Amino acid sequence: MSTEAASFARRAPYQFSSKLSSGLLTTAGFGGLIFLIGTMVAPDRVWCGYLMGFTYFVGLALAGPLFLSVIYLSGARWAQPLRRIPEAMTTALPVALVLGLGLIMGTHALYEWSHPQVVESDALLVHKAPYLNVIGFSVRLVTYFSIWIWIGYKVAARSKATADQTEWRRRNMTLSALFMAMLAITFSLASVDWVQSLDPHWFSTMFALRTLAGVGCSGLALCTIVLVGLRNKGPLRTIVTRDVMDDLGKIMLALSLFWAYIWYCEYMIIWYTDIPEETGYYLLREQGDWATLLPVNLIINFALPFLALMLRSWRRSGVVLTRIAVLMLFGHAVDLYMMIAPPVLGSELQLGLWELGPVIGALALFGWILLRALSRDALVPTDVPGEAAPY
Amino acid sequence: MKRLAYIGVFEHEADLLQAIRESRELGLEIVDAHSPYPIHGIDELMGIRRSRLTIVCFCGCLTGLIIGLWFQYWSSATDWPLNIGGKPFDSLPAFIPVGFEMTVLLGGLSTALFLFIRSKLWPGKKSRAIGGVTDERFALVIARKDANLAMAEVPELLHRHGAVDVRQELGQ
Repeated sequence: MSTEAASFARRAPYQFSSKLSSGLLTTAGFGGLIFLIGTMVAPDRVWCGYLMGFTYFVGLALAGPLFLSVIYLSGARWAQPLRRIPEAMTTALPVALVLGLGLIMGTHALYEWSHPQVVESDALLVHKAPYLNVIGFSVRLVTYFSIWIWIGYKVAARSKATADQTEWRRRNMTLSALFMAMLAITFSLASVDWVQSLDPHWFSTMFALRTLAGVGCSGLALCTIVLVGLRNKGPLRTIVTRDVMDDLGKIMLALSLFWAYIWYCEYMIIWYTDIPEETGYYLLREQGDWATLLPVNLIINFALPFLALMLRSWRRSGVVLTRIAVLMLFGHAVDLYMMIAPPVLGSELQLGLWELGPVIGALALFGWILLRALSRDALVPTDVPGEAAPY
Repeated sequence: MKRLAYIGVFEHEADLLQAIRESRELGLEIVDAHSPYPIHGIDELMGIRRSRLTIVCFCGCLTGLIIGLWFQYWSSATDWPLNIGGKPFDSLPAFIPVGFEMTVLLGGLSTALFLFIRSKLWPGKKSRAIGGVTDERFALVIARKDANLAMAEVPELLHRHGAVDVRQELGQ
């Protein structure tokens, strides 16, 4: 390819084929249909799936501004040409807000604390009622999203608009720092509201961080899949080099380790101290079929990626790296299932169309939003120098 | 075996990189490059082979993990079982922190040890550092690869790329 053709390819947006587009939209539509039917037939199960899909969707959307902030704050030059993908992920935040408004309808099916008669007979829930109530839940949900969309969109918009290298970093530094600080607070509260309060008697100071680690793992895994996919299709061939894939693999390894570390810290302290008010969470998850899923979660999210990503040749191969990333995305779904399903579905493990439909629908919708955003603009930012290697 | 080597001292990073590039094109053997700070991508430019220390590190880690877990199992479940908080004698969750620490300890120590052995460093060894390379200067060491190559061209090459000092040495 001549230099001119190569530079033209770099400025070209992603070609979003209408076949793929309609495929994703149809899948999302089927997910929505299953959800609507389910609300009448099996409300508990389908709302469990909805919450899983929603949490997964929000996590991926938040990973966008989160990664952008990390890139800007650390001044990561190597990741600068890759930033169109997190920018595109950010555009899913408004849709996440709509899904969140839908979740408010499901509070009665999901959360014990939303039933006044249950709260009345439970001293602990009465004590927590000033925080755990439907109005507070809704107001907080809208507040979180307002902050995320407001700052996250600004970070992404400035990142998109900057055209020269000296400027791009300075302009986004303060905003990125603000986003990180706000995310730390709002995400902690959100994870308590949406997921931890499914077991309203239980609490853990590690919980928000564990959820955030999952967001990092799944977000980076998705970025990697998209980047390697775009590399194979052409436009990013000179940008996503083997070294970049190597780095992505290493960060994936680090995030997977971080997730496992936080998971173990939470589990170990609860296991060791053995206080009844804390052990309830794991007792439920060590019953029946859930007990088999508990180690499976650790194997998929930690052991397998840990061993696989240690091999340099595997990190540097697009095919293998994509497979590991897909495994981590699947692992994140298992992790969410272990967080959300046991308190909603009870001691029996249930997994079928009602739980999977909304999750697959939400992921298909996210994929459609991401690819549509990528098809709108040049895949390589204009401030990236023509030569791929900076040295 | 002692062999002839040239040391070129540079004042700028770019000069050093250019000199490395041309020496490689000419087929000269680069023994080492010295810099006060890490230069991104220089390992690739010099054509350094991948370090095999990672294998040592992995084996060290695995040994540490196995020893750590086995010793805890042996001491708390086999040799002298103690009832602690009603937990089973053989409790894996309790063994993990020490197992992890042993993994890191043996992995780190074995890597450091093999690095010293491999690069022939030991306490009391006379320093062979080239002056200035820890402050503000860069140095390139070039040696004879095979008899055919004219080593006489090397000083000229180094000077051409802006070397401020060129020395000849009989090294290992």
